[in-house]
Amino acid sequence: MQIDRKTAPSKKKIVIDPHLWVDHYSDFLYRYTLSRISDDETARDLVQETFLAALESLHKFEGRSKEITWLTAILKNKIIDTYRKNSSGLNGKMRMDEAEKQQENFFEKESGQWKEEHVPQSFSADIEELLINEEFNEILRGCLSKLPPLWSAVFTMKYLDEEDTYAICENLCITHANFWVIIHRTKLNLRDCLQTNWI
Amino acid sequence: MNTLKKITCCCRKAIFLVERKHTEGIAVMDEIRLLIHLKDCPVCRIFQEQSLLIDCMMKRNQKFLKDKRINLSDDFKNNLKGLIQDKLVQKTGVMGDTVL
Repeated sequence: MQIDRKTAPSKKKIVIDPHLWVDHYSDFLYRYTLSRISDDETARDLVQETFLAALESLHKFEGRSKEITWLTAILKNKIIDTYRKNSSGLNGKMRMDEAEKQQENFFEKESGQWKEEHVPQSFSADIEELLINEEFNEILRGCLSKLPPLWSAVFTMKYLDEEDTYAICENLCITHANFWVIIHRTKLNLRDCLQTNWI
Repeated sequence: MNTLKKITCCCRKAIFLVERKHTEGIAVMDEIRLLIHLKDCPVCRIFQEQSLLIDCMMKRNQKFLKDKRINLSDDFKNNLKGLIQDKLVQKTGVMGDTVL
């Protein structure tokens, strides 16, 4: 079933065929989600919800962008909703408390210098090699999945989506100062996790 | 001596500045503070290098997932096609041909 619409004023005909969405776009949307949310079941649910939400708002599709761009925008909003939901839950808060407590141990309280057990050590490999090292990348993904949900959301939006800082703050309801504290703590945590699991 | 003390910073502050410098930029005074710290602190220099490595890996992660053949199962896809079909029938039933 194809859906044809004529849009004013250009009267350009838009042809959408939702029957082709699964074959054409579902794998891309699934991978897009998995790179932002590590839980497989949630990723599949979000792809499904995206298609169903798109069907509900077919009338809003004006053909100004490609179908896949429109579907990805719907999915992106759903991912942000999931970030918000996960961060506000009890589990999210517990993981945040745990991670914050752990980081208090990174530095000497008085001097602000690294504690001996957390001093950054060289990864003993060339940076270029590490970038393409499959095992090292897998460890990073594992470390990311252990982060408190809010930290993971902020970090993913900043470095993977390269979103504007103010847009991230607005979407996740955090202040600019909080944003920096989260970025700082996330990086500390990830680097330490990589060191623990790699060296 | 006092002036020098004022513009030096501890490791905790230095790595905060490292992060901010690479993402949003920092004030000139903080830039000087960081330079002085990094000059004498090999440990924070390692942190800085590894911090940039993580940034690059995050960007690469996107490409990796696009490249890799991670796909939804056929069962899931067929089920999804069924749901879409049902929804379309429901929609055209309610709305008639006006959207068609």
